[in-house]
Amino acid sequence: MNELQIGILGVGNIGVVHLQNARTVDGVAVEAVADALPENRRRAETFGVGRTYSDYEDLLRREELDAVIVALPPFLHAEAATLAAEEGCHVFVEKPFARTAEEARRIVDAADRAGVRLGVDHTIRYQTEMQRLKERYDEGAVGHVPLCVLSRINNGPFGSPPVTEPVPTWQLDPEATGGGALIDLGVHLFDVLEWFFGDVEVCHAETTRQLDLAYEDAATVTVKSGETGTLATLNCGFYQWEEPPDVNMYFRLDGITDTLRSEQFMPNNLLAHAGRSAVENVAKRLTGGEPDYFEPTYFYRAHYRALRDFLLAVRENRRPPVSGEEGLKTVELVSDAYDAAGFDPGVETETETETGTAADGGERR
Amino acid sequence: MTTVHGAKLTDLSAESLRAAAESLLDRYDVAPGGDGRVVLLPDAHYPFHPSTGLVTNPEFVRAVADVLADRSDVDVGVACPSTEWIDAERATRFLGYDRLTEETDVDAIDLDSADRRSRTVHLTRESVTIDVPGPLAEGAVVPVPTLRHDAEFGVAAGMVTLGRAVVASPSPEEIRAAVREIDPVATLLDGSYTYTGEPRKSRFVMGAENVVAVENLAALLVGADPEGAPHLDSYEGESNRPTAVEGVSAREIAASLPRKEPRRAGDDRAMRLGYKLYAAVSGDNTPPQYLGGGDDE
Repeated sequence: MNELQIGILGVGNIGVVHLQNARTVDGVAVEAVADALPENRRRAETFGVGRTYSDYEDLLRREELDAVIVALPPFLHAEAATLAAEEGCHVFVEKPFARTAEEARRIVDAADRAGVRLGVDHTIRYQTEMQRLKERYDEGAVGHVPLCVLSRINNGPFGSPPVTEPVPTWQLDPEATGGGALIDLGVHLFDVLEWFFGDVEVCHAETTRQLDLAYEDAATVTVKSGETGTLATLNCGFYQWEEPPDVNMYFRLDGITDTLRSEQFMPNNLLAHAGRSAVENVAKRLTGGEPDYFEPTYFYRAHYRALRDFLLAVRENRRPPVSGEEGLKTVELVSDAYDAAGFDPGVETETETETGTAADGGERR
Repeated sequence: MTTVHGAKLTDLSAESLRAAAESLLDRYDVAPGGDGRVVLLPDAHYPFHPSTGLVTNPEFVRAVADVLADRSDVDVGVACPSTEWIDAERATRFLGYDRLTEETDVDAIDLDSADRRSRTVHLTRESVTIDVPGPLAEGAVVPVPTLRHDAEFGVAAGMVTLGRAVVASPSPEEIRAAVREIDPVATLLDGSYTYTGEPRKSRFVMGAENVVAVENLAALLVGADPEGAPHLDSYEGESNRPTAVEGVSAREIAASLPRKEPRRAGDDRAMRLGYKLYAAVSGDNTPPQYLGGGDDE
């Protein structure tokens, strides 16, 4: 089987996670990366990447690649993913898949025309506790689930005291991000709800801002599954002081016979888990095996699983588990939530017309 | 004798904050400076939510501004310096000061672009040269700090606020020089929310004409030893500790404040080296925070 030759667009913090993960997948070679920051390119070179570019368009035009990972800021996802598809590359896109439903459709259409696969890095469904929760749910362990609550709250672009990093810039611009907590965290949660319950639709949504930001930093959405009738409350927020390794995330299924909580399937102590899994990984290596990549970190392992599944699907010419269709649906649900909340982040996107391009707000963002 | 005056707040409504601000300002002669302006200098160094107590409650600043503006011939401005973490424009916008200046006659004062006045201040043991932003040199300055523990100085309650408005990372001597040179007309300590390792809705405000007295009292309230605070130690050979606190019980306030160890920036060098060693031995990947270099900006 020929080696998959891939490129990575954007090797900042999440891009370098993908770079390391890609190198561990059999039959995959990272041929080139692109990043505007020289220090990011230098860092990628320490991982043996042979060619680096400051401009991702140059990379796409000059390299003969099978697949590309898009780990650029959200305002570049549509442009980069579309160009990559047009160059014949399968494309794995960081979340959010796109800033708006219109951009997401553009990526999907480009991939369909080019006959390439799409994948989206919706990692929460790949977290160990979520996978175990899903297994128990699928087994019918608590019967039908009429109500559930899914929540993810972190500190967003701000730090908790003592501050150690400057406040970022583009991460606070809805034009660059597509919005606030809903597009950044809500997309993950919508993906999980669809994974569990099938097609869901937004019934109600509210957004708030705790500071004078240009976007929402807290949102709550009620969704209903057309397949199961389950009513889900989705909470996402950018406002809480988060102290790693602990994160504020939970999924609670209030079923007919009992309640299942995602926390039940997490390690009791993440530091102890890190130590234990590190020892196990060393032992595996010493006995000629491969480590469970990123297992000590617990959460980064989900990125490994998501990318691995995409790359294996591409190699085996099958639909990735989290494909462009899933990515499009989550962005559409975010758009529906913004509409229901009466809040417009104000992202303008361009739609290609026969005569050129024009700003297009569209019926759906 | 230095007296610190205080007022308890029954709630944090605009009305309560204004009444408290009025009760304090009535005691002090807050006359405009040479530029015809009173300059309020709140703690707005980072977009922490005001309910954390780590920044001045903008609603208290609004109340103070409202009281002053209602007095005749007083122009009021709010000044905040940029810090190493965020520029003043964004910090003040996120904290709601844009709304304050849009909805009132209060001016936003840009300290970053203001001209600077070089001043050599003769302290007891040394002379210190500082470059004071013009609005602080000319205006009648009223620091409006929040009551909080400070990682560097133990407490930051007016004196440190002034120092950091002049020098981004001031030394104790530069703080003293800034205090001496700017010579605020009064200091109003915002205790609506406080932070002593944990936030608290403490519901009080305090004020005094002597900023050093406020800082000394604040140090006692947060449990910092004034003798150990480098900018307070034997300040200029004078005793500036408040000899009277009126209107509130400092003892009760101090007893009510949580005494949690403030979070400290972790020294992750050991973790970084340890993880790299582990990754080298196991063949595992390394999280980006331990790789060093590069970010997504």
